[in-house]
Amino acid sequence: MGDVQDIPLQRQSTTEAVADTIMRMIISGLPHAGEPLRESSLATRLGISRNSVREGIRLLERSRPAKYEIHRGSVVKTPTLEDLGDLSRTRLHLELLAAQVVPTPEESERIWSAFAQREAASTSQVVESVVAADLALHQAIVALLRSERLTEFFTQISEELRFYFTVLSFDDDEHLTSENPIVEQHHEIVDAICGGRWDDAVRLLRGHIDQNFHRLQEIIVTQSSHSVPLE
Amino acid sequence: MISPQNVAERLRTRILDLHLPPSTPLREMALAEEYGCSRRTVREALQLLDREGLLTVVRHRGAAVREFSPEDVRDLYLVRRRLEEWGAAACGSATIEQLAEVDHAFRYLSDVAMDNQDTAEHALADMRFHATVTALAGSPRLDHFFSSVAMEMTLLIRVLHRDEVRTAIPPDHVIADHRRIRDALIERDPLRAQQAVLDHIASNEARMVYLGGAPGR
Repeated sequence: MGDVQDIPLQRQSTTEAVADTIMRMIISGLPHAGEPLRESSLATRLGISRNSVREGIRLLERSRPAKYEIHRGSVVKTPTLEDLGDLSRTRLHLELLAAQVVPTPEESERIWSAFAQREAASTSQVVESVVAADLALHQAIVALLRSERLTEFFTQISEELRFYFTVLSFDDDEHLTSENPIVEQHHEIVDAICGGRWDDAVRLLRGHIDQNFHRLQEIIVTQSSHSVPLE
Repeated sequence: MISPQNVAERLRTRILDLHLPPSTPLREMALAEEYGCSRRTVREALQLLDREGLLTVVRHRGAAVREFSPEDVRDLYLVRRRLEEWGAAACGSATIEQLAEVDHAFRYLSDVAMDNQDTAEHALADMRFHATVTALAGSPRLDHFFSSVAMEMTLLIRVLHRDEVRTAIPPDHVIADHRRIRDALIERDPLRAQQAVLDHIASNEARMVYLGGAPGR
C-alpha cells in the first residue's frame, strides 16, 4: 500500500471521500489504534478544512473505526479478536436461522436480484460497491426471518461488518482479483436457499462465514503485531 | 429542576403500572403543568420513552401510550423465541456465574409473583429473568439488542399478568413455567431448556393473540 497522501480524493461526496481516506490511514497503521484523531493535523495532512475532517470522522463513527471518547475526541477503535468473534458468531447465528426458512417466490426473487447485483459489483472492481452489494445480499437472506426487529438488528451488525469487509478488501491485494470463487460461493448459497435445500444452505453459509472470519482474524493479528497489542 | 430523565422515569412507572393504559394520549402541555417543567423537557422525556417502544407517536397528533398491533405481538414473540432458544442452547457451556444469575433472577421473580402479582415490579422481574436466559449466549451484541426491546416486552408481559390476575390464574402456576426453564438450564440440558422456553412462549403468545393483540381492553 502506497503513502496515504498519494491517494487521490475522487469520490461521490467530499465527506465520504474524507471518511475513506481516514479509513485507509487507519488501516495502514497511521494513526495507531487507541490514538486520538487530531482534526488539525489531519486537516493539514490532507489539505482540507477542519470542518470537512470533522464531518468525515462523524461518518466513520457511525460504523466502527472511530469512536468518540469524552475529553479525547475521536479515537481509533482497536479491532479486537474478541469483538470480531462476537460479531461473526452473531451474524452466523442469524443467517443460519434464516437459511432454514423456505422462501416464498417473492422472497426468492429478492434474493436472486441481490445476488445479481453482487455479481455485477464484482466486475466493477470498486471496493465500496462490492462491500455494499455483499451486505445487501446477506440482508436479503436475513429478511427470511420475517421479523422487523431482527432485520433491524442485522442492519446494525451490517454497519460494523462494512468496516471489517472494507479492511479485508484493502489489505488483501488478491481480494478483488479473486472475486470469482466468492461469487460462486454466493451462487451456491442462494441456489440452496431458494431451492429449499436448507441443509446444504446451512453447510455452505457456515463455510462461507467461517472462511471470512478466519481471513479477517489473520489480518487483525498481522496488523496488531506491528502496531499495538490486542486488548 | 426536573430533568427529562426524571419525567421519563415517572411516566414509565405509570405506564407499566397500567395507570396510563395503552392508547392514553400524552399531551405535552398538560404534562408540563403537572410536573412543573417546560414543554421542552416533556418533549425530550417523550422521545426517550418512544425510543424504548412505550409510545405511539403520530405526526401532528402527538404521543399516546403504546398500543400493540397483532403484527407487533407476533414480532416480539418471534424475537423472544429466537433469542431465548439461542441462550438455552448455550447452557452447556455457560459459566457458573451466568447460571447463578438465572437462578437469582428466578428466585426474585417467584417472590414478586407470590406477593405482588399485579404490579410493574412483577413484569420487570419477568423480563429480567428472560434477559438472563438470553445472556447465556455470551454475546455483548445480543445483550445490547435485548435491552433495546426490553421495555416494550415488559409492557406486553405486564398486560398478560393483568389478564392472569383477572382470570384468576394462580401465581404458582406461572412460577412453575419458569421453574421448568430454570431447572433445565441449571442441569445444563439444552434440549429440555429449549423446549421449556418454546412451550412457555407459545402459551403466552396464544393468550396474547386471544386478547386480540390490543392490550388493555
